[in-house]
Amino acid sequence: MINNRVDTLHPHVTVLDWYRLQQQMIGFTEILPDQDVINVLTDKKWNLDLSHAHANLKNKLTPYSVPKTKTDFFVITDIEISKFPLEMIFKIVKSKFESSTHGGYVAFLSYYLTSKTCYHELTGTYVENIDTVFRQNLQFVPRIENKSTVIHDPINKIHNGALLEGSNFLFVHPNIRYWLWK
Amino acid sequence: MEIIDTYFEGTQSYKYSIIAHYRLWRSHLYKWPAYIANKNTQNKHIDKWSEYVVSCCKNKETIAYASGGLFFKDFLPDVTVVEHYPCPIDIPGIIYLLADENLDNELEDRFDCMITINSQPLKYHGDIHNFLVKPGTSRAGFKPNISKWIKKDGEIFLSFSDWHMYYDRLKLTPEQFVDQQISKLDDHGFECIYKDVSKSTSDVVNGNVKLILKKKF
Repeated sequence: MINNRVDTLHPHVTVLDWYRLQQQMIGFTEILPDQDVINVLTDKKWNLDLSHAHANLKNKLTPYSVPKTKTDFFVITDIEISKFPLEMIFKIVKSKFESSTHGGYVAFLSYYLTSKTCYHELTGTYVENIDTVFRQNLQFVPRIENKSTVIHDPINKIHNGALLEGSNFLFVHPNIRYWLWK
Repeated sequence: MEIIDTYFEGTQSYKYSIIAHYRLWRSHLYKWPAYIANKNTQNKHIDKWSEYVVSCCKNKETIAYASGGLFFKDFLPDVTVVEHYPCPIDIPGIIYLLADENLDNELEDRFDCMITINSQPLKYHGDIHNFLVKPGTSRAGFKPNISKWIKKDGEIFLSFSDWHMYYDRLKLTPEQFVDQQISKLDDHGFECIYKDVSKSTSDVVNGNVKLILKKKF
């Protein structure tokens, strides 16, 4: 009987609903970095540009977005954006930042970064190098808050008895996180 | 349901759903959707890389490891398919590393070819050398020294997405990273006889990095 159910599971769908899977498996009520963004933005009465936000955040923030002619604040957290070359990512961020009143929040995945430039001169850890490159390319932003949770050499690191890698929802809410304020 | 009681040890709470577990189980088996798609069709589809691998493995003792390798049964009927965790649904033709403590020994020095595609243990064991040679536990579960399953002069058909590998992506391109790995592998008894590194998006199922490694000793 169970065998018959395999055929009803739409096996050709390769895009995974990581949010739902993690919710089912881990039993969380809210993704913490999502909640952090929600806490900041829900009482602002801003016009939010959520066109590149991931589904959970988009659904939760849409009711709080107040329609205006100009965008107040933008949110980029869709994991697919992380697959663009860094040069393109920074262009998107710059364009969104310039057309917003207050700034934006961005999140990208450290596993997906690609760059047309190789930064051979970098000498820090991957975590430090990411921050260096992001700050170099976000110089047009007056105030940057780094809330990233990138872990240097994360493989097999153990925290509270559990393997750290993959435990921080990074496939739902990417792990390189910056608040960009005007 | 008791099958998967220990499946996610260490997480805070469990919601037992066999469908959810099946989806999670298959989620990192990149050839599984192709296996399902071929399951009830007469004309079995095969992509170019898999077709090439199959042509190299014909009439040889072959193992497909941690890849959704049941896909290859349609083309290599005698292939040994090994996955890590038991599927929550009973599916014949697969043997499970973590359900049989003697399996690792039984597989030793038995195979001429190994196929491994976007394997989850590769992702969590840090680099290719560790993945092939070092036994150890990661988020993917316990993995033995899988290189000992291959006979001398045997070949490993290894493909993966550079997105699954952890390295400083600002300092190294995927190709530079792979070259570093090949050099390290050469020192440890693996000769790279084929290398192809294409764009990260070029082959999401098989992976954009394709290597054939020959076991020298």
